[in-house]
Amino acid sequence: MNAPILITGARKGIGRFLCEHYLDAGYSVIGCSRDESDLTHERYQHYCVDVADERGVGKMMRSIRKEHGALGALLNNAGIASMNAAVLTPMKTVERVFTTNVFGSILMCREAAKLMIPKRAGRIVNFATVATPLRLEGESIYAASKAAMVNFTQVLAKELGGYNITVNALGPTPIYTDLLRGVADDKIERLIDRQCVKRVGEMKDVSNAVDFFLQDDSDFITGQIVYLGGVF
Amino acid sequence: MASIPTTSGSLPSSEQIQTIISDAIIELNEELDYDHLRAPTASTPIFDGEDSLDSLSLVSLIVDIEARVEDSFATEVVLASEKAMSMKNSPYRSVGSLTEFVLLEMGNTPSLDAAAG
Repeated sequence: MNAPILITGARKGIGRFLCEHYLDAGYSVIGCSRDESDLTHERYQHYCVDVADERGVGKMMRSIRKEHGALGALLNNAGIASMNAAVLTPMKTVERVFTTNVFGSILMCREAAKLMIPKRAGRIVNFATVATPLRLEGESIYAASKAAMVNFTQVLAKELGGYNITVNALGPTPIYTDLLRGVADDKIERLIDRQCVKRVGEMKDVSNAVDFFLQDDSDFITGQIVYLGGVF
Repeated sequence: MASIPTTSGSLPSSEQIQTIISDAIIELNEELDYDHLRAPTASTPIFDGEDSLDSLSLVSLIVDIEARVEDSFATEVVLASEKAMSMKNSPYRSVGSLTEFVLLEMGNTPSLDAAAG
């Protein structure tokens, strides 16, 4: 794959790690986030854009098309969490979570696909969560938003399969990032206890699965949701 | 694609848009090799009846036309709009109807230059 990899939510956490991982592997990487990134590299380019801002995303994609002519992969990592009992969650929070996790991710998929369709090639990796199959109490809104992306991923895989574009999703287990800040240790312990492999996930677990989706030989792997740690 | 003079920021003529659509169809037809798409005219069917493109080809064509319009006129135009899907007579049925639809959508969209300013 010669075309660049676009990573959303690139400023920190998993997104930042994936940027560095694919730069180290020799790819051209384009990152985007609402705020500036301090990552500098000759093959790295950063856009400050909110993934749910249709005009901003369109502008970024036009710029990518003009500069690179194509997009090799989209890693749709940007997301926000909400940990609260459903009956205590303000609708503003519901709206905020769905705006980024669902509407933003769908918008990114749509615009990325427009750059991939003319080349009849591309990889889209959406980000799910183990909170969805585990039906985690206290994470109903977050889990529901990612459940929407699971279904969207599989429908999109059908729609884009004819263009040799694969669409898969990866559901990480808890990894110590900003999203987990504020989650009590005993809650994380209980969650890990429900995995087949009982340990906290690491960044390399994420990049390993993403590497699999992106490799050339994975052109027959699409519509799949991979949950780390043995969650199903 | 080079046959369209760039008139950044101004609304194009019907002929200019029809040329863009025809160029995109001719390029798409390099893969499809359909006789009726070799020299498109306003009445050439795109997504209508027996001579319809398949849905994969239609999406490719629409994506390509959006990009060509952006490149030629610095105007973002989204042709897969809800309006297009709900219109009684699909704007995708022929080169002529799609030309009208592109112009209609461009008339409702501020140019990228204007938006940037």
